[in-house]
Amino acid sequence: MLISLVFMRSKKNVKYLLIKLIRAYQIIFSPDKGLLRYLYPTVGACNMYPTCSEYMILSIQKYGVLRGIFRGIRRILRCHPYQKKLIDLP
Amino acid sequence: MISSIWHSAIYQPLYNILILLVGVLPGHSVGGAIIVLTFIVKLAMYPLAGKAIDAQHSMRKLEPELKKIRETHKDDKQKQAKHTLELYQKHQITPLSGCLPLLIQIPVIIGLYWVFFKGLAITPELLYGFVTAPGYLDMQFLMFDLGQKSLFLALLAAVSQYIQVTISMPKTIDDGKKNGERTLQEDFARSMQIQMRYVLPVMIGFIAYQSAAAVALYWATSNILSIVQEILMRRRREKKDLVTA
Repeated sequence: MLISLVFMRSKKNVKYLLIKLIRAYQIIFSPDKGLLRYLYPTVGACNMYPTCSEYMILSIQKYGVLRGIFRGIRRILRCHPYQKKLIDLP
Repeated sequence: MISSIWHSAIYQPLYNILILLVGVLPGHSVGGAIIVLTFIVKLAMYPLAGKAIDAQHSMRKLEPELKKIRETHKDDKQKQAKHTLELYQKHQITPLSGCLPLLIQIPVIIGLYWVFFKGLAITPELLYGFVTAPGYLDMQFLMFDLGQKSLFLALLAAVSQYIQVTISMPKTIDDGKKNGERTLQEDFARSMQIQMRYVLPVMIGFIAYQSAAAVALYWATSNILSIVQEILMRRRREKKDLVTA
């Protein structure tokens, strides 16, 4: 709790912490970049470029924390088999 | 607040659907209700999954171009992904089914887990107005008690998951190469990939065993239905190809 308070002191730190968390997700859990990537030998797990986690980081950098997260979530919902626009930058 | 949203948005609807199905089914069988529920979920996702299986087929036709991309951007996975997806976009293919089918299933699995974790019983105050409570619940399915753990059903979930992953996975690129021609990196990736094929089913078997047999039954049924769909669609495709060829 104390640690997070220290981190949350300014808006910039929230951003920094969030991006670090997403990077950690990419290394550990992500099916495209993390340990599970070997399940998808040829194309990777992702339907779109950049991947949703990458997109989330980019949009947090571009629009700030709240709008960035919101856009990131909308992006995740766009990943479905009827999606035709595969190259999709924030 | 979150727990009340969770309760009224996921737990309660799922509980009601289950009780409704149990009430409708002869013998008030809970196992039967779970299987019917799986059918409903799969049916809702049928077009989504079918689309992905079709896409796999169209991807195979682009194989030469894909190979070229892989060779020109050998060391840069990012660029490789970008160019591959550009190619798919040009040909109007969506390569994978994406997150949506998963996102639909996760609440069902977690909800089922909770419903059985709390012990499935008839609690009239949880039921919606149009759901009438059946007189009793038959927790026995074949020889399994669905409230308890079941090693057999967990194993069935794991094995069916393994088969499902194996038949739906695209073939590896370097299948044709002989041992000596592969680089160390390719060898590593290959062995990891083979290991992962086993890790996922083992994980799912473990979770299925830890939760109630009901969850394992959902998982196994769902996998078996996926396998059947994959085989049926593949057969239809082959027939179509024969006609056009």
